[in-house]
Amino acid sequence: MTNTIIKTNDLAKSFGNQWALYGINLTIKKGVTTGLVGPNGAGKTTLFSLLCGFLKPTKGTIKILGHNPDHADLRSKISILPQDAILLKAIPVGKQLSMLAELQGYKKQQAIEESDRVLELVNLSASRNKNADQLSHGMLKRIAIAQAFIGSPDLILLDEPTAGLDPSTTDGIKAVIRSLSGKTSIIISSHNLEVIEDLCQQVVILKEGRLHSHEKIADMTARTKALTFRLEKDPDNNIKEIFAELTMVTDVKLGKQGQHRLVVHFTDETGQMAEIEILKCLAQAGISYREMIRGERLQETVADRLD
Amino acid sequence: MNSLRLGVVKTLVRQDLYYALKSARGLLFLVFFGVFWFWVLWKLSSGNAQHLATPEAGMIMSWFIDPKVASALFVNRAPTFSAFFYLAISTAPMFVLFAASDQTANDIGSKYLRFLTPRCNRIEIFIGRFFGAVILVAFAYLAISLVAALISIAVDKDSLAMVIADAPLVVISLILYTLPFIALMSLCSVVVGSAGLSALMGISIYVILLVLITVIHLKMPAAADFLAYALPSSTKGAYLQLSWSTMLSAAITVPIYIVVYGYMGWMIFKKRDI
Repeated sequence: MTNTIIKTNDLAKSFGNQWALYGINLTIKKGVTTGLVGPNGAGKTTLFSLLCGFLKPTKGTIKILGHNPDHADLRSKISILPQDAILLKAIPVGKQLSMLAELQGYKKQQAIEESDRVLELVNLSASRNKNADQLSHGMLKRIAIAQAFIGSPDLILLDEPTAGLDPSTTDGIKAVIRSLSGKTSIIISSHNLEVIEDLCQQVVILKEGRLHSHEKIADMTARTKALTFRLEKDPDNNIKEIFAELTMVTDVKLGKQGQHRLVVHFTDETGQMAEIEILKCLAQAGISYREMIRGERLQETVADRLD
Repeated sequence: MNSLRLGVVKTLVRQDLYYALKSARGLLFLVFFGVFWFWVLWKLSSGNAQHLATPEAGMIMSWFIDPKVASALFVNRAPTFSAFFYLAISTAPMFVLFAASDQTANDIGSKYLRFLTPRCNRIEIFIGRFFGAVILVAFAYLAISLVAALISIAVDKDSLAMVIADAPLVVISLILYTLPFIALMSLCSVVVGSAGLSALMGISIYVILLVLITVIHLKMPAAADFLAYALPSSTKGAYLQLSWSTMLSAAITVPIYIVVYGYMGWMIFKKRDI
């Protein structure tokens, strides 16, 4: 039995004369939570929509669990959170969820129970009898997320699952996604790299409609030992000189203007001593920082790769 | 590729009808339809239609409509019920193009289809929406025909037997006549992203074809008669004869319209980006 859940071969999509996506060869393994990232216009939404079967490829093939995305055998095995789909306005959201559950094969009473369960997951049980036009944008987003958790799909595709949500709701949604991790395959398309780093094991990076890379997040962020600082202000270009004396420092990277970021890479032969020496150097140079994290964040790694 | 599960289609039809009765567009159609027929039936309940059964009225009517139709409808029939039938057939395009305009159109515009496609095959959605529109329209005409029959029995003298005999023919004729229009709208509604645009498109196609055929008829009557079959209303004359034999001959064309319009709609819907 194959261990692959998604496989694309030379996948391409054009809108008129404009290629939104070109030559995508991608293989995603079962049970892995994968992030889909890239700057605006990179083709994330197009790739996501192709995987969901919303768009038809101009060229190439997509296989999901060995089938084309619109194959009948995939019905109810895939759950999708579309970014911009609108719920029916005139029907209570609880009823809408039970209607969708019925289409997934639940009997009427079971469908009601399933809709209650997913409403509970997104903490919206109290809104079961409210119509969509009575709910806020964030609540509608949570209802849309709830419909993606109906049943027990083999693959869940989530487009910007935390966009427009407040931090506490975001944490709740992240906890639900994390609880499914390992049990089902999840693809998350998001601009929020903190969410991707927090939830995903792998990341697919798109750039200008092409596949830039597909790697394990752990490899990307822990390939080298590093300390990442958020400084009070942008560092001077000559900041690298303050580490000149430290032989264990292998590289010093500065963030873009306004990011106030400094990343210091070092060899791990000296262990914790290296970190102490780096901090001493900063203190001696009178440079203060607001935040320090061990390693390099996905956000910085991806930004570097896309530069 | 796109297998059809009848259970899912049934669920989709049930949900579509539930939504039609809750949503603004469904209620708008029913209110518009109800108000129009309330006004017409109220006028007919005064017994005015009985004048149409006189020889003088028949002669005047034959100036405006086919004399065969005038005679079939108003000689030895309940005139109130016949008048209702004539008006129902004549106004059906207007109501049906409106009632059946939102089969998949709003689903496409609002991207609600994106919630459905992980659960249903596109063919199930397409057919479910078509049957949803058929049942809504059929129930609307069934209800209004029953009310018209009761009024006719009350107003027209000794009309009970005639109305009972004609009622099934009237209801079946009305439903069959509306089916090609609903199929045309299933084609229009897959092209655009709103029920309003879909209705506008359906009305435009209908009117443009009607004008074209009328113009062609002036020069080439035979060609125009042939082209007239492109219109979903081409069998109107046969239904208006109000006889089982002409109704059945017209009914034979219904599957052709449904298959042709429906197939064109399905070809677009199955390939289109949603």
